Amino acid sequence: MVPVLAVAAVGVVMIVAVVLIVAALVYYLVSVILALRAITVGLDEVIAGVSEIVEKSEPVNGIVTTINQQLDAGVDALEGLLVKKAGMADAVGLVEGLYAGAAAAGFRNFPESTAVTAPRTASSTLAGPCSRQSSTTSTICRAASERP
Amino acid sequence: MTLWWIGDVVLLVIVLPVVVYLLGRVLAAATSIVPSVQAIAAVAARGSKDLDAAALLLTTQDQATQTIAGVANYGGSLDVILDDAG
Repeated sequence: MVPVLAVAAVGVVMIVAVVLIVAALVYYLVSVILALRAITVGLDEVIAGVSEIVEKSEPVNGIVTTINQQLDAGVDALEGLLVKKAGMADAVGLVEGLYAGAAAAGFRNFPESTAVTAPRTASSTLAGPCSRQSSTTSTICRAASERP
Repeated sequence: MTLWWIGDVVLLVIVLPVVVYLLGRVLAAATSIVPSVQAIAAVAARGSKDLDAAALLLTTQDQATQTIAGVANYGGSLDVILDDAG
């Protein structure tokens, strides 16, 4: 009778151990499943947000390129007009008078303008080219001196 | 019989704690991802909202085109005026 009880006790303990292990597996695996579902929901939101970003930023490159081309054309035209009307030296001096230090950079379409020595100017009074008041530059100087 | 008892003890003292420890680590790793994903989702939503103004670039493009056209007209007129003044 005693061996039967002993065997039964050992078997019960083993069953309890296995049940505990299975219970732990169930608890943790269900918790992991719930966490993974929460991650899936979050990733769905991320994908939606990133898709919106891609969609909204898609035309930016082309638009900015077009705007830059337009502005480049405007700058080219204005530089050409200034150099044509005022001459290279006075044009460089006028730009230097308006924006101190800009003469060193020169005009984009006139590489030789970087080698031109700007007439002596004061950045606030336009004393250089405007002091000579040639007929060509007088109108430009008057307009520049009235700038805000 | 003795081996059976040893097996029970091994199950309860070694196998069960190891299983609980490993599963606990997996659960901790999984739950630590959730707040990160939620934070990323919030940032993506804010980034998308910041780009709402990107549509206005079309207006900016039109404005730039019109402005440059106006500048070109002024330049042409100025060219003629300065010629006349000279």
